[in-house]
Amino acid sequence: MMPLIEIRMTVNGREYGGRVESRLTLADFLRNELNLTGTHLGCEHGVCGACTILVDGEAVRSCLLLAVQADGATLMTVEGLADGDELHPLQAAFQENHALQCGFCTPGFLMTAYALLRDNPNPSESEVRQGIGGNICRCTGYAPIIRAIQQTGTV
Amino acid sequence: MDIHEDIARPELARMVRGRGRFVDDIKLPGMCFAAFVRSEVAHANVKSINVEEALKVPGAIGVITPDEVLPHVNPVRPAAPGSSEFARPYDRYPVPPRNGDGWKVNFVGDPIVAVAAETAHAAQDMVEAVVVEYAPLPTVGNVEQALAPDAPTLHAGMGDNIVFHREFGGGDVARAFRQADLTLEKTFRFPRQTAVPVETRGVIAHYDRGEERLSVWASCRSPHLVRTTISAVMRLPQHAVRVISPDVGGEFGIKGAAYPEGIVLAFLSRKIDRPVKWVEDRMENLLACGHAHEMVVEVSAAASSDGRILGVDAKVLVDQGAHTLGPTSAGLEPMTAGQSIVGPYRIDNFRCDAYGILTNKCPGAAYRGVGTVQGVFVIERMMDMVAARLGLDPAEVRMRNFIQPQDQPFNTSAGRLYDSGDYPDTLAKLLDVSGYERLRAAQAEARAQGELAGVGICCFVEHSSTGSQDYRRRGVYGMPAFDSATIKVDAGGNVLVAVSAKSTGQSHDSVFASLVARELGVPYETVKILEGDTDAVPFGAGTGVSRSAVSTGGAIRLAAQDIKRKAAEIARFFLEGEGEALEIADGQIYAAADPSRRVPFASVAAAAHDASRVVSLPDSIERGLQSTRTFDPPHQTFGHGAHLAFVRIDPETGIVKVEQYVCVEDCGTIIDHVIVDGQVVGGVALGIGNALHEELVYSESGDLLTGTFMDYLVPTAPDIPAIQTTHTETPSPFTEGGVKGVGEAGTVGAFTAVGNAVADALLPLGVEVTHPPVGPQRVWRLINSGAEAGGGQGN
Repeated sequence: MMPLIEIRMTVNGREYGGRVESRLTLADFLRNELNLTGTHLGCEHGVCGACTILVDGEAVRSCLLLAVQADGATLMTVEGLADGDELHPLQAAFQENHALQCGFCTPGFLMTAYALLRDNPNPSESEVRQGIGGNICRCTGYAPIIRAIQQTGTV
Repeated sequence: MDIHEDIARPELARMVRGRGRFVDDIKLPGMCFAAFVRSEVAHANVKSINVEEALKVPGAIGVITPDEVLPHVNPVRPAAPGSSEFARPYDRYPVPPRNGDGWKVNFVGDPIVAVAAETAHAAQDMVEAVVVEYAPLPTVGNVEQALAPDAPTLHAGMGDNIVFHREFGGGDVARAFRQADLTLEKTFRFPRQTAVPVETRGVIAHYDRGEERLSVWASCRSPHLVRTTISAVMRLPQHAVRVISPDVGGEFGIKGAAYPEGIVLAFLSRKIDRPVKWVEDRMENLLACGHAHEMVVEVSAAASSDGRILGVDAKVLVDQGAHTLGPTSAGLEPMTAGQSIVGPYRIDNFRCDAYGILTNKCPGAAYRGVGTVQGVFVIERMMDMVAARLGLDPAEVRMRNFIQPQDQPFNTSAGRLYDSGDYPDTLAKLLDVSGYERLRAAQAEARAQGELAGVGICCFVEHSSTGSQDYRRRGVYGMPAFDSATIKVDAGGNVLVAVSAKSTGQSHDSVFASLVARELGVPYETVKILEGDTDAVPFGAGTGVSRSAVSTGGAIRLAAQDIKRKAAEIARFFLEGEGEALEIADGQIYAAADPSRRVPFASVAAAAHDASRVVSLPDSIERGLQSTRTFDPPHQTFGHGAHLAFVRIDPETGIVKVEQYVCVEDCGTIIDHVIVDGQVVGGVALGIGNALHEELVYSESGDLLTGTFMDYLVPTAPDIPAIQTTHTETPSPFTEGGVKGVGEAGTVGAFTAVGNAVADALLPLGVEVTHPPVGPQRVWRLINSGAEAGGGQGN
């Protein structure tokens, strides 16, 4: 076994610690060590965007970061969006607009959209298209995802 | 019967919270992790396999090699191509078969050894440490090489590489060509593509030695078909195998088969006595999951001077790769492509010579629009070519060739029976909705400025809901075509519905629950759908061939009728009215003549379970309130549509921009508009990707050159235009409620509408489009060469 490195981080407002191999990705740490399986892996080479989470407020691909790189960081995953039973407006809009079919890419889109709307609360359709251009959805054809994000933006 | 109300969709609510449960989210006590050693050579005899160093890796648990599997398995069926009378039988095994003193591998990525370790990382370390020695054989790289007289053969005993061959058709093709004013001969080459669900394949196998029972969690759409294959191959009774399909992160046809990896995993679990998980990475998915769509179609068409197609003669050569994985035999793509060539047109004279051919590439699987995509492209390109030659408008040529609505149901010369559809009306609607005249004017203006702009039309029929009769007509045996539903009403009046279909993103939870609620007259919230567990749901074909609305929907309707009959019978003990007509609505059973005389459905359910304080049923009434019914679609349904794309091409870069996209769809009676639109729009996006970008390219030595998402390009949001959808509804005379399937229509329409639009844009340059995808490289080459470019787009 490789030597283990101690790390600490805040995820969805909760403190976590662990001892990990240096080669463990942040995505694998979240999914397998913290049981936060809402973050999905679609390509593990940084193209599909399914594993997008927020690290210190920035939308990043958790498959391209090592867990040790997130030592000391503040993270937010899809599990942190809702306030208890109350859905985040983005989640509600995705549901209402049928912006998902199989749902596998959805967490990545939600986190990407969260950062997009924070930086640009009223994006045009074209800005949304560009903004989610790093996420792959094979089911919906993107139209309902764009509608959901724009609808949330104008709330 | 559309679902108008804004219903809660439980399947979506879970997902937006990140509470889906996919294979990789499941952890079993004692679970370990597997990985596969895969062939690095396209065609070879494996001389030796050395696992010694691998077993020394920290965390190593064990390995399984071909010789530990081969003595204990039957050849893979029903996925084996021998299940069709036109297919050539050969024995296919889940591991490389013995070949002299070695083992034969047939493609780069062919699994050779499975390893198990305490962590996924350690399993990868083990893979790196396994040493495999190869004696390479000449590579069979494409259908031309496979058909050469001296071609090496992939499978012992076959003699050649032709795994399927059937000649079919109708009328008198030779006479049609003698009478023709115009003949066209073209060769179309279609790219190798793959489905790319965002969730890759994943399997957990757990062989419980106490119970002598195998449980398999697999991301798949047909849990019962997977169980059938596993039990047959592993020589286990079916009740000793349980297949569970949890949430599936998309599949588009590719997760229909029992893959060899899953079967090897079961052996591995039995050997090491641990549950073992394997989730493929994206490189494995592109390399070895399953490829589709690659074929060469040589076609000749005879036309009259007024644009009528008199006859078509086609030869379809499908590159199946090293095996065929699809559950319906090697004939799936060759037959579907061939039969699709006549499209919505009255072509009385047709001949097709369809082949399935083996090559040293990834095995062939089903992918949305299987074969139809290519057959439709061929005829729709020919329509445009005839129009160009005769100086007619492409829409007008189509109008002159359509099957007329009064001729439905219509027997085609390609051997299909269409059920219903008004094709001229659908095209007329498309021209109207899209503003066709205005688009042609915009095109003329662009051309006058020296710009490249094109309008592409695609008219098509899409078969769905294949029944057992259809399989028999196609000569396919051993393939169940029915689906099933069990409706159980509990003592509290809640309704559990277990079905053989498996949602992979089609919202079965809400669609089927609304169907049940409507049929039974009970509140939607009281209905729960259960899928994806062979221990809990009745046997049936599962999802595929755009069939669930028809076949599982049909079974649900039949079971619901049983429940209503029984509920009415019991209600009479509450209402004390002999023989009067009863109705069910809003959870109440009431006298039709006097709705104030009523009893809650829940009270009836309680009585059925001897749990009512009001009514005790006599012994003559059988207890319980449940029914299991099956539905075998009596005949394929044929949805149809007309799509239009308007594109502009940048002559400097060859980049194609789809500026407008309009489709008119007819899938019979619509059950749920939101779901239908979702299927159509998502399908169109997939089809645009297929038309413009997606292509798996192999080197001459049989190495995959497009093994990551940096090379195999799938469309993202900026690539997809707004898609405008309109519907017509022509009920099928063959199905319960007149519904037809719709799952593949969008893909079929978009591939050709975009292809034709690009061809139309390039028409002034005198080049022809016969080799999609028409992405920047190929288009740029077409613009600059003035001739059809050959070779892979990625080369």
